[in-house]
Amino acid sequence: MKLTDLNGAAARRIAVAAALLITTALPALADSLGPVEGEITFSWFGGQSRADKTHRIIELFKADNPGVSVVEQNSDWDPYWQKLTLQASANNIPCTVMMQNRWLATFADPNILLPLDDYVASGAIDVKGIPESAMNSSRGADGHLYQIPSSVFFNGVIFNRTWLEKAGLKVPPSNWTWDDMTNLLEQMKGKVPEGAVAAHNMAMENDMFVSWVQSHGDKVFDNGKVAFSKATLAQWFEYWEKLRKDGVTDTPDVMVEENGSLIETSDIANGRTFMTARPPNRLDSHQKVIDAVRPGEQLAVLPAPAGPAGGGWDVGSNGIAIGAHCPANLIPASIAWLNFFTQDSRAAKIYESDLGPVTVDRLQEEQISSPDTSRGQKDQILMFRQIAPQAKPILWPANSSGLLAQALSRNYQAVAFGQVSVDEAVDQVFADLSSIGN
Amino acid sequence: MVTDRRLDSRSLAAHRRTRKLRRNLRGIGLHAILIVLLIAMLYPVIWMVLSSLRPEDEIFGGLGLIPKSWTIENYVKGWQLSGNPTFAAFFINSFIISALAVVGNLISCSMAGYAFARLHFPFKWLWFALMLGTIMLPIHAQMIPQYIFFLKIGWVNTILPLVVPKFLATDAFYIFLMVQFMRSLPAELEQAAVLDGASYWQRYWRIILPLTMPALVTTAVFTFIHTYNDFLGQLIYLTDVKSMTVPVALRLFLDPSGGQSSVGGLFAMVVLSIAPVLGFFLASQRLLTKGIATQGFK
Repeated sequence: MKLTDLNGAAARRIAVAAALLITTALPALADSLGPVEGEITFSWFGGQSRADKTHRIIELFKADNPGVSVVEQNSDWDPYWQKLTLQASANNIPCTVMMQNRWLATFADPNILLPLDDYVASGAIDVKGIPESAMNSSRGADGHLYQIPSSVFFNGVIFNRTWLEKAGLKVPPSNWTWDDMTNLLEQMKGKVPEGAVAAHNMAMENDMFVSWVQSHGDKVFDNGKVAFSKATLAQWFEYWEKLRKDGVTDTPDVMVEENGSLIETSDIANGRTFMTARPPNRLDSHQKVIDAVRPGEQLAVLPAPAGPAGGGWDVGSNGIAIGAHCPANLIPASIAWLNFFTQDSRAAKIYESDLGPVTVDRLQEEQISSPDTSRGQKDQILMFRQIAPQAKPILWPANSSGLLAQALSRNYQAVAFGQVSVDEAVDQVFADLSSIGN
Repeated sequence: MVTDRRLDSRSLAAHRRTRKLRRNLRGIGLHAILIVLLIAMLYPVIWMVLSSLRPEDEIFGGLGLIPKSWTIENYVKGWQLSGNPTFAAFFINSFIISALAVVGNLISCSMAGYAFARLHFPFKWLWFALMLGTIMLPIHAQMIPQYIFFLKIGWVNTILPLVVPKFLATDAFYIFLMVQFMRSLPAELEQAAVLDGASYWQRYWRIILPLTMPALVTTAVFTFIHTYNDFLGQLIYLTDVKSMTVPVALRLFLDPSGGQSSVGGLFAMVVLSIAPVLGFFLASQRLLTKGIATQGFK
């Protein structure tokens, strides 16, 4: 018998019963997880400042949950993923780990991370206020939810607003295009201080490239394989080659040195370039350096330019995942910690959208309206809200982020140093990426 | 004739003076070149040491050596790191592991070296070849099986995986070094001890070991430096913040993922962390040089 076969009263009774089941039974399931107690481990990436913030949040959590103790594991970016990979190979992932959607495909397996769908459905894990797009980017190829996103990040540029205004130019709107970028940089070429350049050559920058691909109507990956065309990649290299040959960007040797540099040594933070590719959540850190080096100058952010197909912004997410081999008696404490980190106002206030805008809308509002929130944090949250409706989150296949970065870097360097033609470099990039999805 | 002799002696003296002058000039020139090269090589280190004493926001302001203002704030902040634990704990952790590794390697490698150099047992050369073969095994091929093994026996997040293997003669390079040195010792010394009725242990302990001092010092210095600077092993086996060692903790000052780095704190703690290695090296420099020179590793 189908539901449509029932008369109105019977259907209503079933609907009421179902609603009762959802409102009573599932929370009961959440409560039946067991007591929130025991010693859990939290492993995260980041330097000293993020370690300080995380430690303060853990202290708050422990005060709220006296039965729980948290062992802290902290590493910086590269060692973190090395260690996590090794732990995964030995089924020894800690109970709670910081995860990022670009790495998720490598770990999204029920033998490595715990699928969280049932806990979300039962209400044990609180996802209230987290955008659906961020939740979707936290799923593995098997469709299961493997992390709860706590912050999001998107592609953008940081530029020197003071130099722009001194040149008599206006800040472009957030829906600016690649042509607008060319015009702006050409105009800034002769107006930057002596020894500085208008732009860092961003041809090797992963984030900017995927924005280019998606803003030109291509997909970056489809069904776990490379989906953009050779023509799109060739146009990307040619775009930056023209700017380089026009003297708009830094020289190839400076470009190589600058790529991925620390904030403290970067050209943008030290007043040696007008514009570079950096996620907007890093604005405050850059501003702090330029305040010391060139007092009075102000940096600002813009999203990556749009193209013929509109904006090409990839919105990524950082979140918390639970290790698949976390003992059952520690799952309640792990979930309590996950909920606290992602949903608690005090925790969000301490972390300050440091890894990108906080995902929960209520916490975004609190940070925007708080007088304690820095200009950089507010700017990135507001910008995220502008681009989020048009964002095109990418499902990154396993190891694809690192491979793409390496392929772009190595092959564009060969072009810039005059060793190979653009077409040869494009062929080589595709050869380098052939292992993705295999 | 007398005049000729005087002329000859004068010209000879002048010739000697010229030669001496040339020799001195050549010496001065060579020293000048060496001093310039030395300054060029040491400049980054000197810059780092002096930068650790300037305010953080001045560090990347220029490449000049002398700070505009002096401060020890980097040392205070760097030492605190996250507050609990401080760098004192990281130094203690590093020293404990390094000291145990040195003791372990000295005992086990010298005993294994003595066995390969002086004793006779079946398939000795096969075992020796196998032992040498382990040098060529890439560390990445061993990492995962070793990690799983140590995890299964409950040693992860303890110092045991970093220390216990040292007591089991797993560093083939140092065994080889000992073997080479012990082979160069006169066999007659041991033969005399045999005639006096000395056991294997007595010959090893009373004759071979004292004569092997340069090789032992070389092993101790290299083991200390290698263990003290080891990053990967300590990263994967010592997971808690409280059990971190110096090289792992130093990485926390930098944040390539976009957070705020503390370069001043990093420089200050790097200066402090160099001191033990430098001190250990200087204290054993004479024996170290002798040890290397007598084993054909010139």
